[in-house]
Amino acid sequence: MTKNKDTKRELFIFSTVDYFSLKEHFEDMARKGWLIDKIKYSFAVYKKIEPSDLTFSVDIYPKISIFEAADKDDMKSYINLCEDAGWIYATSSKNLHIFYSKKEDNLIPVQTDEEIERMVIEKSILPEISVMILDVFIILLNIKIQLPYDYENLFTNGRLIMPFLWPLLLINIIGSTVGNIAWIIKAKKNIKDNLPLPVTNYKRSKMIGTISFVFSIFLIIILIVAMILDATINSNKIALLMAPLLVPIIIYIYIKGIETLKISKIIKIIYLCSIIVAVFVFTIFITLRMSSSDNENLEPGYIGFTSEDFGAKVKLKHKYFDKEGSILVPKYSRYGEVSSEIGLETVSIETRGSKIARYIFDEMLIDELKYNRVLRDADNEYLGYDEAFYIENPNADIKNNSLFLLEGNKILFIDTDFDLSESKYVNIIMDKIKK
Amino acid sequence: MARQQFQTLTEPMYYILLALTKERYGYEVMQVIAEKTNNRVVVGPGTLYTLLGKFQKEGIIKQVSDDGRRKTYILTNSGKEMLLEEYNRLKMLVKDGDNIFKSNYS
Repeated sequence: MTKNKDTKRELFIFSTVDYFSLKEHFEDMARKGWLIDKIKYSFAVYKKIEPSDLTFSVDIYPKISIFEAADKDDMKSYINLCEDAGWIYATSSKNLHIFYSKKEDNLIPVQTDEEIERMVIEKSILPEISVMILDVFIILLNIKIQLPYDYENLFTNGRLIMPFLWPLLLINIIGSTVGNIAWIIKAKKNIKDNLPLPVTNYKRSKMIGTISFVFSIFLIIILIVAMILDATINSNKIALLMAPLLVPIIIYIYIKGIETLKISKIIKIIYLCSIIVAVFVFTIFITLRMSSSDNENLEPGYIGFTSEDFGAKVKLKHKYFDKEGSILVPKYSRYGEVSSEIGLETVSIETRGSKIARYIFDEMLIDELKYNRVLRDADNEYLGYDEAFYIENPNADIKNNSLFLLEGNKILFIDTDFDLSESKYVNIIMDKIKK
Repeated sequence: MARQQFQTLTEPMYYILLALTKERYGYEVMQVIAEKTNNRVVVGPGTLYTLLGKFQKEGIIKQVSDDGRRKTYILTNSGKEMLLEEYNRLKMLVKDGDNIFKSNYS
């Protein structure tokens, strides 16, 4: 809570179902000399008054939901009707409208029928619940796509954190969805049993709202930092990396746009669901696109073997170079040359710590061995390495044409059309690496 | 159809429709109901607003005027029919009750 002499602010992250506990909180604040003035950008702003015994009503305007924007004239009529009944209009936040009166005025409450009250709240939150359920489904799908966790996720900061962010986001969404569904179920039961509508606890709702808000900001900051770090390594991909930030912008445009669109509710539902699905598909597309190469030439500071290094004078059809990096794997590069005579690829990896290098090395070997390839020791030729293996296709003419080397926190993988156990190639490779 | 949704009117619904047998604006409806029932039935402005919206959507009432601050409403013909049906049903309930009480407690 922040305050100066005449105003006070507090974080305001509440669900529609918290309306009654908010009423009690505003009455408590008025007794302490603070009157709710406005709610803006998730902050409630209070103005200083003489401590007063006021009665508040926090009502839900029945014609707003995620698929229906308020008709301004109609909302004005609703507020005017409440004012005609003696209530003083304080402020609104989305579909919540706050009125107050002096306690001694003993006005007719804004809502006098609990069944109507329940219906209005349900109408307000059901569309949100349905969109959240769709979000949950899409997040689960994304989690499934990204499991099992692959060693290649370590090569960029974005891919490193995404498999952890999705479940955390899921927990955040499920928390508020379950709370709203539980309220609807309890409300229906209470009406049936002739009991009052359920009232949430203000302190608990505030804590949940604050945690959810802070958590969401934290996730967004982590994602932005990861994307900026990735962009510094590979500036070609800045545009692609910034694309996920389009999500909140697109949703904002939708919410603003819906106010002016004169289309049926079903079309709005389809429109919103399409946006959500499109954004998630686009995110997957970006993740896949980020693994493709845009460059051709080997950059200084990165290891890559060329045809010339191996003494092959060929006309290249195509060459490619890709680099990535993350906090755990500061350097990852892949350089390749393709000609009609030979194909050649070098993957060079530098990790932050030998344990990470060992993990990646083992996983890369497992990957290679999936394709009926054979593993052979290369220790005799490549001395001084923690691990040295040839990988070969037993049916191929050329043996020992792929080489894996591990030393401390560095991995080198070379895939060629040469027998890399031949001493001339061993010398070429060892000389280049030492440089 | 309106009759299916409002098959049995609640007390607030019944009194709102009774009040709208004459053209009235929202707060006037609240006052009339409180006065005629001696404050036994009270309808809050939020509840009234929601019900007016539902009745209007179902064609039971219609908006007559809007001076920018207040809107006035009145029953439509199908609204009158529905109200009359309900009124006659309630009369029948009372009449049946009278007969049973007279025969059991005479």
